[in-house]
Amino acid sequence: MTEVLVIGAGPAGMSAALELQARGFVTTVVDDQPAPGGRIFAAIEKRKLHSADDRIGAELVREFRRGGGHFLPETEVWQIEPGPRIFLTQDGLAKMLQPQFVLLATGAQERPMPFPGWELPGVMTIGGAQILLKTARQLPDRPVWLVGTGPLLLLYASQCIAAGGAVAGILDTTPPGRRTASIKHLPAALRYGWRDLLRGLSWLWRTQRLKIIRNVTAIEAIGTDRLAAVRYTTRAGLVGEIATELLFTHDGVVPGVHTTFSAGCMHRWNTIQKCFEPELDNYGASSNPTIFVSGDGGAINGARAAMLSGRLSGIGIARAAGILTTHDAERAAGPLRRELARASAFRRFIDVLYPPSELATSDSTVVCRCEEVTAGQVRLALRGRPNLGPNGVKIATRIGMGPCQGRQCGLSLTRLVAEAHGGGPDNIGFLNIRPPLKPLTLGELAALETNA
Amino acid sequence: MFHKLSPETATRPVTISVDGVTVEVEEGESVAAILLRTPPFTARTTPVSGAARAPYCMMGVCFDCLIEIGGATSIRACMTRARDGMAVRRQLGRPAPPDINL
Repeated sequence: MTEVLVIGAGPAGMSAALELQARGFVTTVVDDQPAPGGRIFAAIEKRKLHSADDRIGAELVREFRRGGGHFLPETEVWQIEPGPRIFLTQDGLAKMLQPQFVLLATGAQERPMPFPGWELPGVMTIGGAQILLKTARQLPDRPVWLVGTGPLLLLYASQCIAAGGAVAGILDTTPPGRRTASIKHLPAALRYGWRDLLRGLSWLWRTQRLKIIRNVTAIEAIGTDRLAAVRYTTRAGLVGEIATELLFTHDGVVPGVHTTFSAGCMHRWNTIQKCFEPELDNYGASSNPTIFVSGDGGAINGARAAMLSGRLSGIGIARAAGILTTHDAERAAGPLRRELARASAFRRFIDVLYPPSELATSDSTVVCRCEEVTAGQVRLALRGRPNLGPNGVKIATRIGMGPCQGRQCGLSLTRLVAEAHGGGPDNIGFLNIRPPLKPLTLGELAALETNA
Repeated sequence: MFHKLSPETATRPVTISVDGVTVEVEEGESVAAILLRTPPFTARTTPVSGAARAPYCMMGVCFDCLIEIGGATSIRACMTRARDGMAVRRQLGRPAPPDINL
C-alpha cells in the first residue's frame, strides 16, 4: 500500500485525501489548526452556515472526517527533504515520516502591504480580522478603517457590518479604470461563477453607503505606541488625515511559497498576480516527481478551484504510483481540468478588476517587521552593488533573518532589488528558505534523534 | 480593540492568566484573540527597538504575537489554544535563554 502525506487540511488537502483514500492509498493529513477546514472554512463545524460556500465547506469537512484517512491536527511541518522525508511536530513531539508521495496543500498568505507605521498595534490584516470573526466571534470594538483592494476587503466589510460591527470607511487603493478593463473578461467569469459575482455585488451594495476614498496611492499610519491616525495621498495629490485607532489592510493573497521553496521545488514569477508560484505539471506534480502541490499554494484560484486541483493531484499521484494507467488518469482528469480552466477564466476577471496595489514604499517604511529594517536601508545596501541579490541584502542588513523568516518581507525585498537593478522579479529570485520552517525547541530536536 | 459576540455553539469556560491577571476565556480559543480583547491589547515588545506589537496576521506567518507560556519563549499566540490554568506572559524584548533541560 502506498503512503501519501498531505500537508494542509483546507479545501485542496481534504479533497485530495478523499480522492486518494478512494483509490486505495494510505493517507495521512496534517494541519496546524485544531480542526479541518483551512483558513476559508476555519472552525466551520462550530459556526452557523451563512452562505452556499459555507455549506459546501461544511459538507467537505463531514466527508473528510468520515473517509479522508488519518488526520493529525495542531501539527506543524518544519522540514521537507527530497526523498521525501518530512519532519513535523505534534504536541511537542517531533517525528520524521517517509511517505512515498507528499502533497503540499498549504494554501495562501496575504500579500504583505508595507507602509510607514504598518507595525503599530491597531493595524492588522483583514484576513486576520476575518479569522478572529470566524474562529473567536470577535469584532472590532470601535469603528475601523479598511485600506487596500480586493474581494476579501469587501467581504469582510459586509460580514463585519452584518455582525454588528462598525466600518468607518474604506481607503481604496484599486487603480483607476479597472472596471472598464475587466469587462471583456466578464462573460467567461459569468459562465463559471455568476453566483459568486452576485454575491460580490451584494458586498458592493452593502458597502456603498460607507465613506470610500478612492485612488489612494500612499498610506501612513501615525502613532507612538499605537495607531492614532492614518494619512493618505490620492492619485490627484490630495493628502488627508483621519483619526482612527483601528486600520485593517488587504492587498490580495499570494501562494505561501516557504514550503515549496524549502522543498527545493522550481518556481516561476506570475506576472499578473505578481508573486512566485511553484512550477507544476497538469496533474499538480512539482519539479520533484514525488512532491505534488494543489490549491492556492500552487496558484491563487480560490476555494472551489482548490477542491478540483486537490482531486486532480490525487489522480496524478495514482498515475505516478502506477495505480492508474496514463490513459485512465487522463480520462479521470479531463472533466476536472475543464472545470479548472473555467475557474481560471473567472480568476482572470478578478485579477484584472483588483490588481495588486503595490503602494510606493518610502525609505522610512519598515519592510522587515522582525528585524525592523527599512526600505531606505535596503536601498542603501543595494547602491553601487549591481550583483547583490536578496540573499546578499539579507546578509548586509539582517532583512529576513527574524522569526518570520521573510514571510512578511520576502516579496518586498525582491521588489526593492528589482527596482534597484532594473531586472524582472523572475531574474532576481526569492530569499533562500532554510529549515526549520517553523520554530522548534532543542528538546524536540534531541527527542527526534533518540527515537530514530 | 476587539469584543466578543455570544457563542453559536456550546463552549467551555476556562481560566488563564495574562501577566498574572486572571481572565475567563473559552477553552480552545486562540490566545492571540484573547490578547486582542485584554488591555493593553499587545503581544510583545521587539528585541530591536522595544516597540510594542500586537497580533497582526492571526495565521502563523507574521510572528508578531510572540508570548511566553510557563517559561517557554517566542510562542505564537495565534497558534496556541487556551487551556485551563495556562500562564501567559507578554514577551518583552529578547527573551533570556531558557534553562535547557533535555
